[in-house]
Amino acid sequence: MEEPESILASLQRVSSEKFGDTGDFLDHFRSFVVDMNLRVLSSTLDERIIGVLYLIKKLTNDVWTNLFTDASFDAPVESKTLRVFSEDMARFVNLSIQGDPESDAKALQMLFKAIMSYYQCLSELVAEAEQLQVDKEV
Amino acid sequence: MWSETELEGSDVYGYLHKRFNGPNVIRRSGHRYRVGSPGEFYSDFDLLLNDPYNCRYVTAAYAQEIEEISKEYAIDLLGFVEKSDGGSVGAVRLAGALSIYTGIPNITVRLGRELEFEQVKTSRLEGEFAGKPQKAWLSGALVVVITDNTSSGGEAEKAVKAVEYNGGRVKDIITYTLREWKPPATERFEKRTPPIKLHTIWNLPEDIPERRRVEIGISQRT
Repeated sequence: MEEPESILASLQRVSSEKFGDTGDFLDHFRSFVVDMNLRVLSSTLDERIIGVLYLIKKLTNDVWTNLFTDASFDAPVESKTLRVFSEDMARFVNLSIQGDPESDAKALQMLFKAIMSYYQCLSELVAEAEQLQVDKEV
Repeated sequence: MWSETELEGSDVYGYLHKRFNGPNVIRRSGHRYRVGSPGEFYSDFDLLLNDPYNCRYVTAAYAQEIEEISKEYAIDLLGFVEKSDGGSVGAVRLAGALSIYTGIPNITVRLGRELEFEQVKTSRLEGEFAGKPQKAWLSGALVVVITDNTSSGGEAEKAVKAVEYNGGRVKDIITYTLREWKPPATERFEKRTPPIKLHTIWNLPEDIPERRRVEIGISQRT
């Protein structure tokens, strides 16, 4: 099992990186948390870190399921909206682990922005599918 | 587990009704419905299907309903519902068996997917459309929706809408168990345009034997 200091250091490192393209954030964070047993880790990590890991795990799994591994279309890695989502999620993580009230307020704002970007990205895909249907029928 | 010998001579419904008397199928529960009313009990379809003989008989019961529908029209697809919360895979575990049994192709209706066009999982058009976000192109296919348990009918209706959004049509739904509800789910679908017929194998709680209701401590019917 990873040590608490190691997990915190990994969170700081991954959330501070510059993400060149959309998939990076998801790749980094998903591979980081996907196999973590948060119930076991909850006995050694503080509530803030467990909370952040839980949100990353659930959000990345949801994005992964809907847009990547189980999607019938190619993942929208070129999407600017998805890139905004990734960057805001990274900022959310980075701010969340700092542990002061000012950072917490900003972190929450970033989380909301990220989630909104995710839904915007989904809406863009629905619009694209609807347009393709129109084109096909014409 | 029941041995195959014990099943000889049993009719499908007679055998399955015995399972309601068995442990772990009808279970008392503290869950509540979306509208807030207590669920009191539930039928655990997953545990029922862990037994291969139960699987066989459940498949046969669905197949009998499908056969009846097939007398009226040619079914193009069987659509197995994976429920919204992801916690219940519903009838999806039966998809392969029932598809083999009936010779009708099957698809999965995944209500938990965020994208409407992804809620019906089929192969997509290729060529110039390959890899693009696209609807399932069901092209008017007649789909029989298959689910495990229906209460208000809300989830089944979402499945119907997912099929329709992707270009298919639904005239019939088959559910293994139907809970008593006001108004009954059957009415909800009869009122649709065009109407949809809801077929049920068991009605709950009326098909739970009284002795079993006492054993698991659920209310007696008045």
